[in-house]
Amino acid sequence: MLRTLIFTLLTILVTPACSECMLTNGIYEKAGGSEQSTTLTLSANKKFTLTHKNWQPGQYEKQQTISSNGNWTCNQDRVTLKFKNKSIQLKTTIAGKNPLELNPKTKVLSFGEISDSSLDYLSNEILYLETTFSN
Amino acid sequence: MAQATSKILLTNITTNKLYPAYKTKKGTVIQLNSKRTGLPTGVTLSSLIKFADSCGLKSVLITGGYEAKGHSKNSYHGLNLAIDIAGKRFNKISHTKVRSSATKAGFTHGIYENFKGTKRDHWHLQIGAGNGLSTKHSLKSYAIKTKNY
Repeated sequence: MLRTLIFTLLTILVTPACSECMLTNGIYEKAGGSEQSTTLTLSANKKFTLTHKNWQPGQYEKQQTISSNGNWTCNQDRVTLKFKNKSIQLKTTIAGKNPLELNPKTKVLSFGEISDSSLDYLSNEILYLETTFSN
Repeated sequence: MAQATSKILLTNITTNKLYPAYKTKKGTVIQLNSKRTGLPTGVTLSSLIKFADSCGLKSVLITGGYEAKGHSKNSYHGLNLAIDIAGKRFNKISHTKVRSSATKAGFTHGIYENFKGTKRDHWHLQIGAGNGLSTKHSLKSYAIKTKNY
């Protein structure tokens, strides 16, 4: 009985720590030059806006923009973006040693393979924290 | 297919899985800016290696390659016919050198996109005219044009 009580108390004490979100709210952007850019804004109210732009070489002013939004949730280093009819998962980490002159401690959102054709521009994408929101 | 080709021509020297890196047989490092940037295959990979080995840099930062999705419709990146080379901030090289090395390597058209005050500047090089690049962007006939934003 005592063991059960201790176990229950430990579970209650430990659970909140395990479910802590390691994510920093803010604006995350793709780094490096190409004819495309991606920005993910994660707001403190758990709303997100995802914007992807692409253009022909030398014609940035004629860019095509795709935007979507929804809600996000977070558990430790795992972030879920919930769209209207689908959701995708990504991981928060740090850049580490990198070729982009970024501080190795720069916070990073890392996507895996994404099979959904409407979001496949995010496959294996890495977004970097550019702007932090104060809560 | 990309894996098989790269195994023959390049040695994978990646130390941080977020940033794949390869070494050519001549020892030049082809550093990708992201795991999303796709290493080209076939002729374009050969051209990339020739470019890297002749441009005078020990390491070349590549920011675009063979990405099937995410680029504009009919993009030469999606056709495995284009690469993006990070700008002068990362690759300390002149337009003249890029042009001469790119031409020798087999790239035919190019442009420099200059996003002032950012790290997004890059040379776009492709094989063949099209997708926004025409005769006036011919590497053989003209100096590389810069588009400022």
